[in-house]
This record gives sequence, C-alpha cells and structure tokens, in this order.
Amino acid sequence: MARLYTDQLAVGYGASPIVKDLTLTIPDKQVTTIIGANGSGKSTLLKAMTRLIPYTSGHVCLDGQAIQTEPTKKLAQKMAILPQAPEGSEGLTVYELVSYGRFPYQSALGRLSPHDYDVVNWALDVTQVSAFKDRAIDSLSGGQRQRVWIAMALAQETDIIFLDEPTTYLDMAHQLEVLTLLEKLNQEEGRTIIMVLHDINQAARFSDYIVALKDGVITKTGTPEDILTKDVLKAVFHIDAVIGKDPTNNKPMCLTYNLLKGDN
Amino acid sequence: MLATFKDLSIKQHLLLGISIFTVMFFVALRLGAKDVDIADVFFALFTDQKNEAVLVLRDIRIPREVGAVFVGAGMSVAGAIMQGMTRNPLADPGLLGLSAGAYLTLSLSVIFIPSASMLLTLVICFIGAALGALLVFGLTMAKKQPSVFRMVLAGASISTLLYAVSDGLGIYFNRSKDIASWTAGGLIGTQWTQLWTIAPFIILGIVVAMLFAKQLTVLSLNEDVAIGLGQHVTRTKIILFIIVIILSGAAVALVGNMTFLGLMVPHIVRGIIGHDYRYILPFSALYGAIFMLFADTLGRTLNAPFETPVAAIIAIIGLPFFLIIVRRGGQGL
Repeated sequence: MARLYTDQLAVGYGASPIVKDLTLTIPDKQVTTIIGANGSGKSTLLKAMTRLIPYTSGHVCLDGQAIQTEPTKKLAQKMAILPQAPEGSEGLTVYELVSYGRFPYQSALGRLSPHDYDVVNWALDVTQVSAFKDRAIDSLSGGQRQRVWIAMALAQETDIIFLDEPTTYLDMAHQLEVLTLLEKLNQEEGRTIIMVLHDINQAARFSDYIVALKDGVITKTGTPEDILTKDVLKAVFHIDAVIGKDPTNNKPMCLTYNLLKGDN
Repeated sequence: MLATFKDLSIKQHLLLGISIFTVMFFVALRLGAKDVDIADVFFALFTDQKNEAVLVLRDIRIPREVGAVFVGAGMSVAGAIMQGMTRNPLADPGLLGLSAGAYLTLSLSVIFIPSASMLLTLVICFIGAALGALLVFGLTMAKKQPSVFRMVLAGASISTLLYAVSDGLGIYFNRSKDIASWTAGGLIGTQWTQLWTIAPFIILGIVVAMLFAKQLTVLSLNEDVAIGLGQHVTRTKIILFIIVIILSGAAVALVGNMTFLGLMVPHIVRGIIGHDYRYILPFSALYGAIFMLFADTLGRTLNAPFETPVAAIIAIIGLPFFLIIVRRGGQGL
C-alpha cells in the first residue's frame, strides 16, 4: 500500500470543477511527474495534495489519514512543498532561509538543536549552496536561488517532496542541474518526488511515473514509455508528435511536433 | 567603517543600541525649554531629593520621554509587523489607514463621551485602528497579493476620507479645538496616569509579537511556503493583526497621528541587522524608541520655548525613506 494517494478528489466548486473525481496513487520512493496543458489542473492537483488549497470532495490520504484532518505542522514533517517561483523576504541570507526549513520542528522561542544544524548544513551541501550561505537571497542568480529553496525544502527532512514547476525561469543548464539534483535525492536518499513539469522530454527523462492530465481528469498514467506515445500526446496536448529515443539514455522523447489539423 | 559595523554580532549590536538609547534618554531629559543639570536628572531618576528642576523632570519631562519611548517602540514594531505580513515595504500604520481610523473614533469620543477614561479612550482607538485597517485591506484584499502601490493608494484615500469626516464632525459639533489639542500636541502633557494605562498594552503587544517573530518571518516569505512549513496562516495573521491594532491604537491614543515612523525604523533596522524578524522586531522597538526620543528632543529645542510638532519632524525625516522605496519600485531598501 502506497503512503500517498487521492480518492475521488475534486477541487473547485460549481458545474466545472478544476479537478474532477481524481483517484491516483503515488508510488513510494519514485519520481512522479504530472504533465498537462495550461489549465489542465496539474498545478491545482499539486496544491490540493499539499493543502495549499482546500479540496471540495474526495480525499488526499497520507499514511492512512486524510491530510485535512492531520495537524498542519505534523504534515510539514512528512511532506515539503516548493511552490512555483517562490519569492519574498529576499533580504534573508541563504543560511537563515534554509534554517527556516526546521520551522515544523520548533517551538515559538526554541533555538536550533545540534541535529537541526546538521540537517541544515547537509541541505546546504547537497544543493551546493554552502559557498554563499551568508549572502542575501536577492544577490543570487535564478539557478542558485532555486537550489536554495530546494535546500530549504530538504531541511524539512521529509520523505516526500513536492515541486511545482521547479525549472521555470531557469536557463537550460540550470534546469538540468535542478532535475539531476532531484534525481540524486531520489536515488541516493530514497525520497519520493512529485512534481509538475511543462517539458515532456524532461518528464520522460527524469520520471519513473508520469500522470497525464487533461481538463482535471487523468488521461493516462504510467512509465515514460506508456505516456510518450502519439495517441496520449494527441489526447493531452492536442499535438501531432513525432516520438523517438534519446540516444544518451534510451528514454522516449518527443523529437518534434505539429499542431493537429481539424476539429478533433 | 561600514564593513566593521556590519560585522558586529547580535549581542554587540544590542549593546550598542542600548548604549545609544541610554545616552539619548539622558540627553532628552537634560535638554528642553529649560535645560537642567545632568546632576538633577540623576536626582530625579534615582533619589527622592527635591528641587525645582527635579520636580519639572519628574512631573513633566520624564513621563513625556517615557511616553516617547513607548510610542516609538510600539509604532515601529507595528510597522515592521505590517511590512512582514503584507510583504509590502511601504506598510505603515499611518499610511494604511490605522491612524486615521483611530483618529476618527477618538474624535467621536471627544465629542460624545468627553469624560471618557484613558482606558475607554484606548479601547476606542483600538476599534478605530481596526476599522481603518479593515477598510483599506477590504479594498485591496480582493486580490490574493495586492500590489504595493495599490495598497498605499487605498490607504491614502481611506485616510483622507476618515480625516475629513473627523474634522467635519469636529466643526459641526464645535469641538475642533479639543480634538486638535489631543492629537496635534504630540507628547505635550503626557501624564503618568496615561502611561500606566497605555504602556502595559504596548509592552504586551511587543512581547506577544516577539513570540510570533519566527512565524512572521515565515509568513513574510510567501504564503504557500508558510503553509508548506506547517503554519496556521489565518490564525497567525489574525493574531498579528490584533497586535498591530493594539500597538498603533495605543500610540494614537497617546500622541495622535504619526506617519512614517513605522515605515522608516524597520528599514533602518534591516540595514543594520538583516531580514529575520526575530531580530527586526526587538531592534525596531529599540531604535524606534531612540528615534522618537531624538525627534521629541528636537521638537522641544529647535525653536524653544515654542514646540515644533514632533509629527512634522518625523514626516520630514521619514518622507525621503518613502520616496526612496517608491523609486526602487517598492522593493525595499
């Protein structure tokens, strides 16, 4: 039994909810990526699963308990969430920000324990941001900044990490840097990673499991090989894709694509 | 020089701040329409010896400067909390309608309950500050993250309206002079009895704020990040809002409107101590107190024996901060 699943989840009110009747099991210790067109509800699904927004019916269950009934602080010790393009309080130093990843474990006036310091330093090291830990966030480049936010999520010491489009606004090299870091965390630490990605080739290259969403409903779930097919991409993105193989790692990839003609 | 100043530890900064505070407090007591000996200041503070200067100090100048300390600390902490909560570097109790709201209810109380006790007046100011804030936030909070300038514009227009209504009521009921003497006088005539009522609220507000300093930093990051870190965001916001209401309402009850103080001090403090509210809040209290002592001393000595309104002095010093932040596109200093 997987630790995290949704059961007939619905988000949003009215005749056309954003996410509808969505039942999904997230495989433990794997990388799961949610893909879909703009407005498909992928970000909404991620937010509902992490209690950033409330859901209207159904359940999100973690370790057999609905997340809406679990104390939020306790939940923060089990799952971390990196929202899309986080910003704010950019004057904090890298070290200060990452230290706040220990927030779920602290009382109002509590200081950091030796274990807290160890975790923070580990998070700074593994994301390779230790070198500028005393610099202000706003003096960093986009790629460095994103790594710092990931370090903060890591400092939360959770088995499950959610990321909403972690590569947005990054250039190609920095995108790959972030994704290989997540891959490493998954492979070496056994962390469960759930993310939303725009780029289906990145999704194919870095995921064990892909969830393809359209209009708030799952079109198909499966391995990259299951999802990167002409039919699925046609249904999800309304494109006519040419599928090939990435010569470096044998993963399927979308070589090129055209818009579909006609009214299907 | 600046580099070495930045390298000081938190403890050294605290020591430095407390030293400046102590010196400023004595300077404030010594200087004024009537300069007194530093010896008399000591006599007034630490002995029960009596002479003319000591009596002036004990009955007039010490309560006045103690009032300055509490108003300065309270307004600055209120400003810092508002800036963190709204993620708006231009947030200030004076700019976002709290002072104007308190001024309106204070005017109503002067007109309709002229015999109101200090405690009742204080509660009336809390209600007014909450009213002003809710009007401004109500206008802007339709969006999840209203823009920095939208908030300030709403604050300015609501404040103007509330002041106009207050002044209109004052004129209509022929009580303008009484209202003005309460609010325009700054710290003039601050009495121990007023302080005994107001100071506990300000102390309580600052202490509770300190307990929520870490929560405030988390909230200042980003709301989604705060939820992800396990914060009860709505509960935290309500508590912080109540603290802001108490601190700025108490300040208005004591000295009337005071714009830019709560804006400026937290920005200066961030330059000294960084952006973590665990440090911003206590240092805002400290430097807010120092700044208010300085401004009030200036007000008493610039054109002695006449008073220069302390609100005007603070506005003149504070306005450039506002303009610099606006020029930076609301990005803070």
